[in-house]
Amino acid sequence: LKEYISGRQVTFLALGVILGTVFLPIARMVAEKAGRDGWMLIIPAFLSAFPFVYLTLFTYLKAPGVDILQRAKQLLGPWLGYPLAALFCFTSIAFGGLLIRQSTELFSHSIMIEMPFWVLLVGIEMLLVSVVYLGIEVFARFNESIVIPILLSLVFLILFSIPKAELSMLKPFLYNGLKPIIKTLPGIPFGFEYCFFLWILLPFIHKPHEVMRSSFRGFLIISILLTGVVITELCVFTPEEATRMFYGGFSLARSVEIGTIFQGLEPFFIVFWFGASIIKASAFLFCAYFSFKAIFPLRHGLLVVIVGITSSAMALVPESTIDIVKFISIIDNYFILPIASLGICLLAIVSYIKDRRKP
Amino acid sequence: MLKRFARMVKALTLRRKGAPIRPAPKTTLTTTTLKGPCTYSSVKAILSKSFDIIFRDFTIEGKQPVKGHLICVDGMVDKELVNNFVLKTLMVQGNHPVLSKVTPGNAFEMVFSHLITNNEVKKEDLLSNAIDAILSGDSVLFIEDQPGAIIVGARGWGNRGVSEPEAESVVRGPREGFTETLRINTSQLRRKIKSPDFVMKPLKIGEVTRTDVVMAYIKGIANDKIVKEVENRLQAIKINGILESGYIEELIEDVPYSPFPQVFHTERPDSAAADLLEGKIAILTDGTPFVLTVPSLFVQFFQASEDYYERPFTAVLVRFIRQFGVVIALLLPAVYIAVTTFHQDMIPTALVLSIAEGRQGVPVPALVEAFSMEITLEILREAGLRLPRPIGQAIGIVGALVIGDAAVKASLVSPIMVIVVSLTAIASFTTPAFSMGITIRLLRFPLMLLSGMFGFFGLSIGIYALFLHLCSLRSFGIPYFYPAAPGNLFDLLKDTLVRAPWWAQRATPRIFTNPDPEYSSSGSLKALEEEPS
Repeated sequence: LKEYISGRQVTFLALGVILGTVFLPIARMVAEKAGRDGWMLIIPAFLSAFPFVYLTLFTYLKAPGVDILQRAKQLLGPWLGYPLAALFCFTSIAFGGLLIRQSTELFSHSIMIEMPFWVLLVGIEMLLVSVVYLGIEVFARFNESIVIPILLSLVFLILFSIPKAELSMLKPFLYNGLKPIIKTLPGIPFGFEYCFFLWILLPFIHKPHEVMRSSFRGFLIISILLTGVVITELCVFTPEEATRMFYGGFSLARSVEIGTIFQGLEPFFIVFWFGASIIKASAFLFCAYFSFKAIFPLRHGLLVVIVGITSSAMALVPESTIDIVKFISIIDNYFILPIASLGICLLAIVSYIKDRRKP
Repeated sequence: MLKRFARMVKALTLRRKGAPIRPAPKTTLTTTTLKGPCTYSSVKAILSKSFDIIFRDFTIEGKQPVKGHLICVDGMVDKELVNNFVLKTLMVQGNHPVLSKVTPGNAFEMVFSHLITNNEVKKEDLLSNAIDAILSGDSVLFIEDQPGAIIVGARGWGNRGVSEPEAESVVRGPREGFTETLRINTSQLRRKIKSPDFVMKPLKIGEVTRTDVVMAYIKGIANDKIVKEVENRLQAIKINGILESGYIEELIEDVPYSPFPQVFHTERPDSAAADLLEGKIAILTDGTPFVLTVPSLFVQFFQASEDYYERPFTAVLVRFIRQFGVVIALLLPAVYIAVTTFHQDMIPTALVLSIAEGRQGVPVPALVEAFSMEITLEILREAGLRLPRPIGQAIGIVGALVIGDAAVKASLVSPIMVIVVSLTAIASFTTPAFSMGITIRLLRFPLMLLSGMFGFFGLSIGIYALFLHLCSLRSFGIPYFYPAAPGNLFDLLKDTLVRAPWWAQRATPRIFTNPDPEYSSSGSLKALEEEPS
């Protein structure tokens, strides 16, 4: 069956793919570099990625129906096209594997401390392999069905943390000026992760011209929500404390209390957040699947197994939480960001030139 | 050995398209294998082995005497109708102006056009069709030395009267239900939908049983592609017999190994008519009061016909209760097991102490305790269902009160577990569709197992796997989890989570009717168009 994804589903995919487990370390990431004003850079960081959504779409629309990897082969020839696909494949597998490892951390650092790592890995991997096996349309529907509760869980987290928040922690605004904020902007590459995913998503979108509007909606919602999470964390834990916590979201969830009856609601939040991490990891496994397919046109089932095994192997590489965060940061900044920005710029330019040369 | 086992597993698990199910031996005479011209002698040779077939030979006293033969099945034919309007007119009306013109040469035509006063008569040349008609309850008339037969529609057998369906009873709404007789069922639908666009297509399914099946839909509302797909799937069924609509349900659904029912069935004509008005297709089977409607959505199984007869606010409240009931029925035991086994810190201290006190002396872990209680409950429920009603009720009371109380006193189970299991059992009854209720009961067990072994991690995996499975299902090309995924907020608010007032439900749900892929959000109808199965 031919798979299709609607404009609305693209918005939800933008939300789901960007969110993942980003809300856990984001407060630390921004507070570390921009201090108490870190919350101000989230919306600009997302907006800075938006032109690249346009460039990806521009390149795609020159030859609709094929994904950007295949388009790259057409534009750059096989000598450059295949290495680009291989690089894309490696990046997807590595990032997907790291996200799987981070998903296991979601439990092993909070409510399932005693559970052996391999049990968590096998469970998550089985779920992810099923998602990839069922195809991108089912993934879009799955994402659509669970992303709203995930977003609501974050909204509730913010709302329930308000009594403990002290807004004075954010003052004085812009004490260090705008310089730290501008300098930190490239360090928040989450919008580019979505641009990266768009490379393989575009051929499945029923009306590609709706991508801009749908993506913008997604970017806007997610950046506002993440700004809310960061402000809450900074206000509840102080900016200094926030830089020391790897996963500040956990601590926030642990501190939530509703009256005296409901306390320790962390497991409920974890159930929702686990869904978010599954979505993000699945998205990158799909990238891996399609890039594998671009290089080795194997059977669907076999490709899914290969993607599952390689991503599991990648999940075993980091030895500690610090390693995971470090590796994710490396893949984000040195692979995803350049591919989704410089790579697409190059393709767009070549595509434009070739298009103009056509009689 | 291993190869044989693998072959056996493959045969039991893989559905092969077009493969016949329990095919009749080639030597068996079935109406599909019978070929040749329709004559009295050939029909008699085939049917004379059965004692319930009536062969009535008579003479038409026309201008010249003409021999005639009538064949019918005892008990399936309306004898009064045959005697008064067929035999009487042909045999005893002396000096009848038409009868006096009958000769062996024109007898067939005269009988057909002038003498039989029944409103349902048909000429038949094929042997198979004539035998089919006899075995379906019609009377078949032969004229000596004349080719062909006259089929007289005279079906009439004892049937249960129209009564209220027990499994779908309502406080407000019609009290009539479908019966086992197909003709009564079609008439009930026709009485509700008097439009000329309401089409009923007859089919015969089952090589040996030749069960009458009717496919009903409203032309112009139902999507033509879905209608075609349903017809194709029905015609592709190759089985020796259909005894209930459940056979058809299993053979036409998209994913037979899913725990979720993908074909809705109802005993209520108003419910079937409502589905038809939404653009769905009804499949009526002779011999059962259960009418299938397709395509079906997950949400449909949580809607009752009464929701549409009561005021919207009442329906909204009832729907919320049902949705809450589903969550409780599916998740409560699993959450209880996970919380008491792995995540005690979630529970307030006072409650922890109370649970601990209750569990004091219970020799088994919470998982085993919950499993044993749930299985006991299922046994009681099954026993109560199979026994005569008064005894069944007594079994329920004895089971719930006496055994439950004794088990708590003997410290075999904790009091809080009894509360959890009872709440779960009560909540599972809030689902209006029995088939979905069973599914929820069934799914509770793997979720309990997952949460007992892996706590909230296992439960999360189970819940997300369920969601993923629901998102992957389709019913005749329509996404099963619509309007949640693909999402449609308008439909979600119109008639899913809540029930909007009738004046707000201006359009027919577009997912069933409009072929534009954008309406189905993920282009499922487009997909159906491209690759019909």
